[in-house]
Amino acid sequence: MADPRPLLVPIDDFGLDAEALAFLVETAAQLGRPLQVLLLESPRLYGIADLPFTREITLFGAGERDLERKLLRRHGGRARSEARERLAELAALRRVALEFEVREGERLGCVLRHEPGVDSWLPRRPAAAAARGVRPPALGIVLAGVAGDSAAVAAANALAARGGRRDLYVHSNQPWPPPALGGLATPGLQLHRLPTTALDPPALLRLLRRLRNELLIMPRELLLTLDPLALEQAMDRAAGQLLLVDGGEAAAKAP
Amino acid sequence: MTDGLRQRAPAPAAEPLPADALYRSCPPESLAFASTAELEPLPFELGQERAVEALDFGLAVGGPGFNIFLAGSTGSGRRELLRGLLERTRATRAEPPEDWCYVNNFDDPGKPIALRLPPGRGRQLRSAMARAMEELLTILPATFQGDEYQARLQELGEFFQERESDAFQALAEKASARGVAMLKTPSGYTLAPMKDGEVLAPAAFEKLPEAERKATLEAIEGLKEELKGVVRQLPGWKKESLDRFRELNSDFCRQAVTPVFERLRGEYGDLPAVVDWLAAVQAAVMEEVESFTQLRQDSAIPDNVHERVKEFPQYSVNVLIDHGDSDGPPIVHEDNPTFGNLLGRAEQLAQMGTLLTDFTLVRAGALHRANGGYLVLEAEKVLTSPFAWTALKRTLRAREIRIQSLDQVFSFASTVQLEPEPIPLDLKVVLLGDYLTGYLLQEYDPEFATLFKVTADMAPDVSRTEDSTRLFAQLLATLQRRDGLLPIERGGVARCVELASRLAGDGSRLDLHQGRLGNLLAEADFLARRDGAEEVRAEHVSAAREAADRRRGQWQERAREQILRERTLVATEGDAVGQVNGLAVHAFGEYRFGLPTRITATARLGSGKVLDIEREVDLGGKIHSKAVLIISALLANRWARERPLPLAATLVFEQSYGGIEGDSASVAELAALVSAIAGVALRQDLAVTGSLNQHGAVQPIGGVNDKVEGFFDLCAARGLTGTQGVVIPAANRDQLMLAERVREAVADGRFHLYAVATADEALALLTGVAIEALDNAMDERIDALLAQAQRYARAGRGENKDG
Repeated sequence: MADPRPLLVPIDDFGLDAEALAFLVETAAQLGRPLQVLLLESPRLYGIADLPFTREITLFGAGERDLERKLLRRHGGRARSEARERLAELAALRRVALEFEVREGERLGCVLRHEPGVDSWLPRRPAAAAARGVRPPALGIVLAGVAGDSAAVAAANALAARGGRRDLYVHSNQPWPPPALGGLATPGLQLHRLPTTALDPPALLRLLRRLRNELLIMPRELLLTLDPLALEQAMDRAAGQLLLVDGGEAAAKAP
Repeated sequence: MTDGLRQRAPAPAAEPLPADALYRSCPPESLAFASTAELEPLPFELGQERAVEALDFGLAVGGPGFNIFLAGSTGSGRRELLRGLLERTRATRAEPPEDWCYVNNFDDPGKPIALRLPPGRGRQLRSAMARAMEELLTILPATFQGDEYQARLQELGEFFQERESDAFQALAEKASARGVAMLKTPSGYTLAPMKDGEVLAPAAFEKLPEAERKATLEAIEGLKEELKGVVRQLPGWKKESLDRFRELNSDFCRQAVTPVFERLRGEYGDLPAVVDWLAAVQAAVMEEVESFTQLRQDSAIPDNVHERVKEFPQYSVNVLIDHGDSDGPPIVHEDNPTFGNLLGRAEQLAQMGTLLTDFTLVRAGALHRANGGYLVLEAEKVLTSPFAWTALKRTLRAREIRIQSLDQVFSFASTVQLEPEPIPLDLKVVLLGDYLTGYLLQEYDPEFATLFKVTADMAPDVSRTEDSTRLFAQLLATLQRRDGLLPIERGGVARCVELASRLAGDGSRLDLHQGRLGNLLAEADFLARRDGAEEVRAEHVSAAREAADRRRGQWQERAREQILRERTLVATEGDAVGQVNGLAVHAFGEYRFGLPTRITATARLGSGKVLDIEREVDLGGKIHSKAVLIISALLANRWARERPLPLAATLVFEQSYGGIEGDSASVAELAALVSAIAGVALRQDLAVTGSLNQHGAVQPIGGVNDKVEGFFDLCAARGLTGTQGVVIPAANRDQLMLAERVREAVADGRFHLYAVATADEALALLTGVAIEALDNAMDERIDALLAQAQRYARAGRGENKDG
């Protein structure tokens, strides 16, 4: 049965790679969720560009150049527009409802500060995709004994049942098995216990920096405790994507 | 004049041949069996002792160029004889030759490698490689998905990612401590002033005290250089990580792959070339390991790797020649010896408008299939197939089979072509051809003699003896069983023997042409079955022969009809000067028949030349011209030895428009000339055949039976007068195998055959005048002509006027 709650997806000046877009739409289709896409312009980045002395160090050859607002805008506009077009095509193909909204803001801020009960999708940065290496697609879940655990398990259930996934990699600081896993209702789903013992902020930041799962389902509330700048730097390095589930009141009412 | 001469000096009475001399019968009671059902089959060697000896030698002898040319006409039984001998020779060589496979050359895919393996191991290698690929397709994904590899991969990935992250993280923290934020941009990083964890806007930055601004800017400048230092290290770290990942992959791949190839190397350790190739395969697999780890979801069968093996043709084995089921050297008969069918070919596949080929598309030719054994080819087919003969010779000379397209050989196209490694050649080629082909090849192809050093001649017939007759009956039994015919009763066999002599054109020989004999038996079998008989009897054989002659006899009848209607002038009664009945044989394929033809001569005063009109108009062949010159010499030698022959004579075959060849009309031509010169008439109720030498001896001719029957049939059609007959060379007596109708007429005295040994006997018979009287008549006429010539000579010099 379809879940009418939209999945919030922030796309900023960095855009999204084609593989991540396809995976996003496929996952939304499997979850039966509409997509609410936030096309974000970063006031902070543009503000930095307005500083007279700001320079950009490029990753290719360690070159140095002016960070110009005009160029940033053009780049961001193109990235958002390409992502929008591609998403529209894919969503039409998979019959996923899609809504766009243009805003000013940072993607983490939008995801972390929205109203309760809304799940969100935090895609990986395009440059991080290449760093994944040889690895089969895998579904991961973080269970930290918080209210959002059951919502995370529900999402994993839906993806396992409709997406034909056979393996679930579990990060947890709970004694094995974490109580929330009792809610798993997909026969044949194989659980893999990962050697994660702590989920305090430094451990979480490390987990996110090293993230390689195609998709990691995680209660949103865990990220609220992290330093925004450190979280942003960690997510800049992540090679996987995050599905942040909210265990608030709205989610509890969802079918 | 002739009548007077005949009365004054009649020729001595000539003794015609008795009826029993006209045919050599085969009494059924002379055969010691009731039917061919009792006879053992014969291995097609009757009368072929010489050919068998040559073939035995040719098949056994080693060394280059000892291939065999087996000469014999089509249907002579050469294939059957050869098959028997090949099987016999093959039985003495129990071991089949090796298998040959083409495999991928990983260094140069355009030049596939040829592998030689013991019989049956080619297909084993193919299966073993397919199994190994299945194994690799199972093992490698499992290896790379396994926990151990994943853990090592993660460890390695984390190490490098951590190193990179840590470097940026440390710099970010250092920057943060100095009041600078390090932020990611779409293309890299930037550094910006920060206060209380927030990036400062330009206006806020401007409001900072000068010293703080200056310190921040200095910090940014310093951090920028450090950031550049970190970024500059990225490519090196990347390369290092790639190397380590490759090393990791290689380690795991080696662990997975090595046991598979170790086992294969163990199985083929006795074959160094295979072991070398397996090493190359292993190296290639390790290079391309990623393609083995890709999973496919398109099969309904989980882990269905069997189908996936086809995705890796480069590791397959193309078994070109498989002798796994052979029990001896191969014997290959190639009925369509084209260039490609002989040498093999590299086929091509059209893909997206492009022609592609690889070692899996290499196909064997007849030379490959026969390698180590025997290849039987028909010369005519090889010679008429474009470039096949050249290619065969080149291959035999080089003693290796090199698969090339005609494009390559003649540089017609410049596209990339496959060049498979040549395969050493060791085989015996037996080329079947007729005598003429063999002669032409010997004469005009200098390589033929060096490449086909052994010639085996099929004998067309065999001497007719008691033994050979018995063996011939066995041959009939063999043909009868081979073709599934009814058994042939003793009388039928006897009739076949007689017909074989007739087919040989000689009562003392038996024709061995199995095609003709087979046809005769098949037709007789048909008639016997139609009669409901259980055996083929003599009447069936005779009827079959007559029916066959009837079917083919249209042109003979038409030609005879032309004579009967006097459109073609041939007299069978009376006398005429300078005119005689010669006998010619006409052939339509294998069907031959004889017909009389009028030969005329004229003689007048002249310079001593006999003019062959046929030759003057290019209708006479060389042999015929030679015969006319011999007659001229004979005339001069016999009647003008010590004086000039002052005459000009002409000879012609009347109403002949298709050319004349041969010397069998020499006696007739001499008779016509003598008749014309002496003015003595010749008998028109006789026909004559025979060759002559310069001394007047009559020599044998061919087709005597057809010729006699041809004249007889014409006379019979007009009504036999009782004086008619044919004059034949005495040397042809043994060859007489005349039809029953002729024999009956001769026995009744209604037709006669005269055998003559000299021209004098023939002239006496034809003129009815004693040879001395004929000599006198000739002398008188020559003297008269000479006197006349002298008169003309004197008149020319004016002596008459003076005298």
